[in-house]
Amino acid sequence: MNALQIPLKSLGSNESLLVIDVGEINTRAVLFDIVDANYRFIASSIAPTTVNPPLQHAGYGVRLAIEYLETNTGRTFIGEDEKLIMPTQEDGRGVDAFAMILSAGVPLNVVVMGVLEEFSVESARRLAESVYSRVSATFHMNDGLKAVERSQEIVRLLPDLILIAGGTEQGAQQPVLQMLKQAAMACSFLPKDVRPIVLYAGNSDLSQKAKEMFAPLTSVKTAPNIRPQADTEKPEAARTQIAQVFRQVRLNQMMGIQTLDTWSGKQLLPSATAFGRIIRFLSMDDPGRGVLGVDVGATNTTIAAAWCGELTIGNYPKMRFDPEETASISDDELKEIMTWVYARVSEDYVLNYIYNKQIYPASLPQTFKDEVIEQALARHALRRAFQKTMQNFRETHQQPGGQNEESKPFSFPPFEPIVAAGSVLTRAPSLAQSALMLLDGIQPTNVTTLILDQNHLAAAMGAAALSNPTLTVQVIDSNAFLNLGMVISPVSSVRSGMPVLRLRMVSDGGMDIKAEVNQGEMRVFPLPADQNATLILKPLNLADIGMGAGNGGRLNKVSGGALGVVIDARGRPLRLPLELSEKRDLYKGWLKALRESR
Amino acid sequence: MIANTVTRYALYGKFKRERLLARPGRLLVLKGQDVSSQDAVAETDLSPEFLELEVAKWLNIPAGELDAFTERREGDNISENDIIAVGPAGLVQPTVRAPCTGRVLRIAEGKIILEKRGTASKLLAVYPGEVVDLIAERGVVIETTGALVQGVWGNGQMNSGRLRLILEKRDDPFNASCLTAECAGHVLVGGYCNQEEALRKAVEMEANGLVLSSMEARLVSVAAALPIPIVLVEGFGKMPYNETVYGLLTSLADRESILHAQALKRAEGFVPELIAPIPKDFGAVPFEWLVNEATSNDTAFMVSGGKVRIINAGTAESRVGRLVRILGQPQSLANGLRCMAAEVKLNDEELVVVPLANLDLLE
Repeated sequence: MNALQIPLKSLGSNESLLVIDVGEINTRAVLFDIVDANYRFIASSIAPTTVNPPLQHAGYGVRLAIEYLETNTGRTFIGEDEKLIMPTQEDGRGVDAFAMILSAGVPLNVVVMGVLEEFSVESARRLAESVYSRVSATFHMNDGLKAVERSQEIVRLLPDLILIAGGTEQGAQQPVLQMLKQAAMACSFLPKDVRPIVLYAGNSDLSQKAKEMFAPLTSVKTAPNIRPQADTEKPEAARTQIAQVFRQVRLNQMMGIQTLDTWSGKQLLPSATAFGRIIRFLSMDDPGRGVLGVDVGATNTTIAAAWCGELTIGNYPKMRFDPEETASISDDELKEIMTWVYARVSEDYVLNYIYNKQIYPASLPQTFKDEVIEQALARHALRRAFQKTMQNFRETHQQPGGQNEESKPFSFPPFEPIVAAGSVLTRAPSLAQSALMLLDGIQPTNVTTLILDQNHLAAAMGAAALSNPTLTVQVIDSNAFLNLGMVISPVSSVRSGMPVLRLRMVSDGGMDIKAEVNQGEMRVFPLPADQNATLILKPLNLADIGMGAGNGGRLNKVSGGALGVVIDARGRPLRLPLELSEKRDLYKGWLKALRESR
Repeated sequence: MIANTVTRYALYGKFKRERLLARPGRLLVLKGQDVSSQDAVAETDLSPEFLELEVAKWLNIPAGELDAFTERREGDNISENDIIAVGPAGLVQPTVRAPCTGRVLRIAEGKIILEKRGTASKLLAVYPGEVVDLIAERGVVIETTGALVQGVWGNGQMNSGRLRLILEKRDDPFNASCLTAECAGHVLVGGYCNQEEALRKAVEMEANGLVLSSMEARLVSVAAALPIPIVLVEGFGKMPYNETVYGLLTSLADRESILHAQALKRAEGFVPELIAPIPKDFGAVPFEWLVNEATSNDTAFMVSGGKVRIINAGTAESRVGRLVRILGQPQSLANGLRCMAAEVKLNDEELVVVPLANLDLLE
């Protein structure tokens, strides 16, 4: 990645930063500090998250993670009074700054209210998806319900948040006002201690009115209109507000995070927001391309796609069924998962595995076949979340770059790089497996680079990105992330076995490789991380590598990576054979190709 | 080290359990009161119903003047047929009566909104014992004394009955053929279930509940729809009971028990469980029970010598042993994964290395 052109702020004083990341399963402590006048990732540690019973206090896990970090670094961060030592003392104890991110806890229960289902309600739903939430109901002017029925439903659902949007700027106010009144009525019917927070992000002419209406009843926040015009969505400011709502709800729900929030200057952030922030930040580097971030967690998958600083972000539960309820997984979802299973296991075995995994989400697969299932679940979660996010992207960006002609089919922007986080992706038994999960789940087209966040830094850096962009830039440039390598994915409709790309790679190290890649193949050309190369690409048979059908070109100074240069000519969308032995042979071949590059 | 998950088995102990309404309601018991499992401790209306009455229109008065014609105020309780508004005097003076019993929620804009009093949903104590704390409008904390077996999956039902073992070995399957007329009224302890027919027959034979070692996940929708509680102790797939819990269940045979098959929600502290309470007239508690008394409700720390269950999402048998030590460096698993691990001495003295993440602390 290239350094961003951000003026460095004074590094006169040491500015160490400790970030605590309280996840669903693990709590991490991550330390950044200045080394040789540059910010560096120093160390991280991990301990179980303890927000759930029996301990039910985040502090135990945080304390342990910090203790491990103290052991790893030989430094002291917590004083004898159990308080964070801040700023750094003359004797080296303590840190200069502290940040906290959080993804643990039950999803926020959100009710969405808007004027029109396909406009304001959709925008508000997408806004809700930017944090860990579950939209339990949506109401709009055409939902066929009476005002009193909407209020009744809100009272029954006991949401944490009512998210109200609707009305274009300078547009009609009456329908929005009606929704505001109905939400206020519902709030007034609820006991004070269970009233939801209200976030209003509709026609800004009514913002003051909304404040006045809800202030006597409950906590109210307002944000600029997320849908100022019918064809424009502007969610950024509202995202900041919904992150604040998340913080407020968690502070009331979870023991032990209040102290951490105070240490962070009341800046506790949802991990997804922090992750989105770093992806957005990276996307400002080059207006010609987008940046994609994927984080496959134990229970949620976050996809953040940014283009010139404009972010589309979504959090989705890993599975469509709710395992905590007694519902069962649908046949369709199981079939989708089985598509990705290339080990000889029965559907029943996979189903049992899925249910057991829900009971013990932190458990690790100990056998080859269990690892295959685990990775199949990751592919499924990634594919589903990516497709949903891209659908949102399509709806909110008629054409990235601003040139949209209705006659042209929508094309997704080239994402470069793709940043992957989450243990299942970053801690797979081999880098080949990490890469293949990403390629299967995302199925990138054109030319991109795969980056692994092996140290789980992206969200932590996102927490620091606003207050200390220098840290973000310098840590990214310090190789704290693992560059897997460049991936070129020719898209072609020719049959398998036909040539789709002619390539020549000339490296600094003196390698000169010429090759032709056929449709259906996965080929890898080694290019060590410390070397650059020039690639000359010539798509064949009208294959497209993002330069137009059949058009090729020269890529200079292509950086090496852990895998090298990957040509994924397996086709888009990827179609896997139904026959297990055939599928297994393919996976063996693809993994072998990726492994042998090292 | 802090455990990722904790499961509690105890032959004897005092346990505190919160019983909470899903939404605010009324408490029906006092602190210090003894309750039985079937006693209601709180109640609420789970599905509030609101009625909007167009009173101003019916009385033919301007909406803004409704206040002057209403006989009730916001917050007033009302009974069906109570007069709630009276129109202007005239040849016929119109009146509006309450169509239901309930409460006046709102009088505004020419309308009156009533909350209809629904059928109160009672929250049962489930755990017999003493109410040791009250949580305003939400529920109670009950302390109960007895044996406890926690499970990993429940179908949402609750019932009680005498415990009856219908297996002879911990790996015996649970089949329809295990079920006889003698099962009626009992909470049955069976093994691994792979038969829909067996689940349905348990209902037909009027069993009061099922404790199973494990079940095929494809039977979840069937089990979830049955009217009797079902708790899985080990998980999904073919899994026999671990030796510890099997020994405990065997010793509880014929004890009166309560099967609370609530869905597992660790974040909210909901765990399906079997309780065999000790009645007040039980007499002297055997000395060995007191020696082994489970005293803590909130421990989650793994220490050397502590009892652990090795869990595995793949359907291998869960095994029980004692934690020997946590290894300082990451270990490689057979599938290539590297992770922090611990040495565990199994009950048969075999020493195994297990990912820390796959240890369930047994308390």
